[in-house]
Amino acid sequence: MIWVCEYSPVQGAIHVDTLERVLAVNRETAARGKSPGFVPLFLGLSSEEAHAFAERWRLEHCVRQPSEQ
Amino acid sequence: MPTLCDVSNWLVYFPERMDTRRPLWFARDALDVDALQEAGNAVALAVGASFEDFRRCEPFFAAFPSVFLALADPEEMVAVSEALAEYAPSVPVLLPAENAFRDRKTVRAVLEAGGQRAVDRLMIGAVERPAAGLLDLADVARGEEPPSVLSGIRELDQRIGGFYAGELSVWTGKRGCGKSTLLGQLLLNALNQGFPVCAYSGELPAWRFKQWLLLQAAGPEHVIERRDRFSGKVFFSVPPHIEKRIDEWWRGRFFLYDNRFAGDEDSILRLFEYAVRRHCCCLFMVDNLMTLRFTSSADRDFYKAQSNFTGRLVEFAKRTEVHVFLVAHPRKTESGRALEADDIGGSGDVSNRADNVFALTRLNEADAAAKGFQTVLRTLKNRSYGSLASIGLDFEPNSRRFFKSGTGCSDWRYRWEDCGEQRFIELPQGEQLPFDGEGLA
Repeated sequence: MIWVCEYSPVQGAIHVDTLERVLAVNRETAARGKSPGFVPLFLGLSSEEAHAFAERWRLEHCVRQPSEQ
Repeated sequence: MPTLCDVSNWLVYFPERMDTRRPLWFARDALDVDALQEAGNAVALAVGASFEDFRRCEPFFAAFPSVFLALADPEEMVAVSEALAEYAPSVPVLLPAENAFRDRKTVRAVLEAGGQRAVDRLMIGAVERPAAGLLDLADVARGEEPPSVLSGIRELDQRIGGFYAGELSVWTGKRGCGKSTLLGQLLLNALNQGFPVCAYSGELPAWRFKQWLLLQAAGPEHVIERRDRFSGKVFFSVPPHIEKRIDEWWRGRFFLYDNRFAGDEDSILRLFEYAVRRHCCCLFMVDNLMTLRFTSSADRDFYKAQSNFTGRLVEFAKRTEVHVFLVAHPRKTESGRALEADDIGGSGDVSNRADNVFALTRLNEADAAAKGFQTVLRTLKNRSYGSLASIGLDFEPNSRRFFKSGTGCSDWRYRWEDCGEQRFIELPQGEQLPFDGEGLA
């Protein structure tokens, strides 16, 4: 099973799911003419791999700036 | 009668006996056509012709109201029916009822055994083969749209489309902000839409959980003010006759995990599975992640256990096509900063796996006065639509109902009110009973 780590710059949210599920949700959403705005960043062979990447990404890119607090 | 085209190269029939006002019989062979010549209107495939030749015969077939397949062998009947559907799709086809031929193999055998009347009876109970590609609207099943449970807060439903089957929503917010209260209301709204629900509440005993739900279900119109005998404090409760009606409304459709039971993740998931299979529950609530019993005690293991449990809930939601609410407290944040998805306590995996993350924040008095509402519901993550919503909510304390700020409306009715109370009434003496003397059996 392939796992995906996605990130939404607009929501500032990370999503980890199976590739199958990500594609299913994207198809449903696209069919409704919408775009969820999540960008796939990483593919892994286990959920642990994807979560580990998510954690690294969070630390490197989701650190809040003082002005945001 | 219209003039029939000549199809004698492909079909055997008596042209002079054709009557286009009556159904055409499609027989097994020339002998059956001969046996049917008294009745006329019979054809069979000519020697050397194939089903593909039906294409050339379509105008001929179409001249008749329908084509009745007078074939005893079910396999042969299906083959001819499918060939007509492929090569002469405009022709309505009638199929004989099951056992119409009994044990006879041909029309002539039916004729020999029972005479012309037995042959005429072959058409009794014939059914029309549904035309390929043409749907009867009445038979079209719903289900193109993925099912979703609406929250009852219109602005939220417009943003996220409701709570979809197969998804997990995480709800976060500081202690006392109203998470459990709002989720109780959402469960009632789901029930009101016909979706059975099931909840685990690790913080409330069953009687307290029910007491709060009863107030919400009853609404401000039906709660009564009471005063505690000892403390003098005012509280609200639901009169017994209303409670009885609400009990009847949610009986068999609203289930609560018994906290006297194990309270561990395995037993909760096992009972949730049962609730799906036995009671068709569609919406589940776990309130909350921090009260669950995990076997690990070390901090790191505890976070890992929470992460694993969230993964199991996601898998449960997807496999059984239900929606799950998971309540997770936030970790401590800088004073005044709004909550974010990453602020959920424990492992970041919890928000990573969720399809939606919502935060509830109760405003301080000054902010509430300035903004005109007491609580803010925010969407922090919405995987499907990417919708970010911020909705001001007001709270009606007597019945514990949240409602969209500015609407001023907390008095909506749940369907228990539609089921009228049955009572015996005494009629004045001499008044006639309704329906009296109308001969009701």
